Amino acid sequence: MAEWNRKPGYDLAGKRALVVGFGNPAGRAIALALAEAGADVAAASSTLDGDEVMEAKRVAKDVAGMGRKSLAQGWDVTLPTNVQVGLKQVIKELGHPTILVYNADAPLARPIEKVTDAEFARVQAVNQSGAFYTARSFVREFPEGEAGRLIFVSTIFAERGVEGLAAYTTAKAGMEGLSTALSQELGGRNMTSNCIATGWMDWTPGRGPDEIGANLLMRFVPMRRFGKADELAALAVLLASDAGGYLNGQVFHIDGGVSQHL
Amino acid sequence: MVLEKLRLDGPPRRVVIVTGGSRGLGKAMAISLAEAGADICIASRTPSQLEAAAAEIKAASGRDPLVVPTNVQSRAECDALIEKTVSHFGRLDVMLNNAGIGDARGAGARIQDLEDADWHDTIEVNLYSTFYCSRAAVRQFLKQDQGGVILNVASGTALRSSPQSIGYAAAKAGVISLTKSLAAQVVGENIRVNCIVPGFVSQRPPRDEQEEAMRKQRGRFITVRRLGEAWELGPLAVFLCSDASSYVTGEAFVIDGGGLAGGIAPTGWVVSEPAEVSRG
Repeated sequence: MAEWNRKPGYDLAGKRALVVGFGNPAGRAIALALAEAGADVAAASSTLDGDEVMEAKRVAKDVAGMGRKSLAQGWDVTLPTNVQVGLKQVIKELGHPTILVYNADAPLARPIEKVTDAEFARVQAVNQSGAFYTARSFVREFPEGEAGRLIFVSTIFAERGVEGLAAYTTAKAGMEGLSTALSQELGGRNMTSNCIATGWMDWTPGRGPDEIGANLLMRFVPMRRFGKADELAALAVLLASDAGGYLNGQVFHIDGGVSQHL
Repeated sequence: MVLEKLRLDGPPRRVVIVTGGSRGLGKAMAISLAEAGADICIASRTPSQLEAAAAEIKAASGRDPLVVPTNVQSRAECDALIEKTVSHFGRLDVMLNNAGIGDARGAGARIQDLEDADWHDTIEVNLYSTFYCSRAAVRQFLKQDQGGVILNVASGTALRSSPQSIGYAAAKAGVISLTKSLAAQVVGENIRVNCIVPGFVSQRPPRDEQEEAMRKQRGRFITVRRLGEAWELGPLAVFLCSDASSYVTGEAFVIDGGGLAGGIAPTGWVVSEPAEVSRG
């Protein structure tokens, strides 16, 4: 009997990844894991916030320290031209990325009647429109004949309601919808699109104190703790790898079991 | 480093039972888990197939797997499977409930023609076995007091209609439901319970060109334009069985090439461009 043509699940040697969004620790954890698996990594901030741009630079430096090629850029994902030009620059300096990780995140917790037009527009622009612009540029520039991987870092708030998160949930649900649509549109072109949905993480705004005795929310999470960025990283590597080609169109929850609560 | 968490060689070296481990998806996952460093026990009904699979697992990992002929429809045999594994390897860390009969008696039958025995067989092999082995494994995990992992294998048919196999789809829906509720029940004991939900996946490499052509034909109707291959479940199983998935429980991880994310129009259907987007 013939043998399978098996491909490695956690080896990205020779691949190039673009990671967008370093406003939370998931961007760093995933970028470093991709590099650990052998990928060169371009790190782009999702906003021109100084702290985020600096974090993208530090991540690129740490990737270089692992012996991979890297570069850092300051992007504003709400500006489609900025995204398109930024990606062209990445291609010029690093080569065509075939892995996209979109981790831009602009949270907002506010009752709907108090959300201003500007706040709503901003939350949609960073979480949802930026995802569309980035994916569109990524596909436009995609090198023919290669396997492509789109990974959107989402949250359980995209699918489930929590008081005060109407604007944020709207935006994240839009991003998950984008991933679902692209899984179908790009599936026949050897590209996959998936979401990793985080639960209550140790950086989620509004999570309350870290002592379980003082935190009703933490006691509600079946694992009785908040998640850590490193716990997202291995799945991102699998989705990015050649062995991940049959994983497509899904939202994978990494949430300590909370989304299975009745 | 993050990727070290995917290793199963310890210390202590993880011990994994794979039911239905002599062929198909079970064998493929067993090989990947063995390569990641785990000690493997494979169980299935047919001793000759078990021995052949054991040779492949040894070739992949350099270590002898344990082979336990088991009919997972029998509670006593499931209990014995866990006992024999623990007495051989000294512990149990992962229970991978993969045994199932997709082509059970009664497949394709309409409900008015379906016999009681066919229905019961299908539910027993696919769902009861998962309960029997999970219960025995949890009892062992509690004795060891070091947590554990249960990984079930369901099917995309559980999530959509499956008119050709109503019993199979119902049993696999039961497996997904058991995964969620059991996960919530044992989370406090550091036991994680998850589920892989495969779509259309070839169980073995094609035997000849004719079979390869048939598979290509079937693959045209799948989002990624091909059938999945059994080995593709291996790296996913390693993730879900290892510490790399430490914050994942109660989840059903679908691997179906994108089928469940679409399925409302024929594959490849492109919605024609509307005359104009309103510029109002």
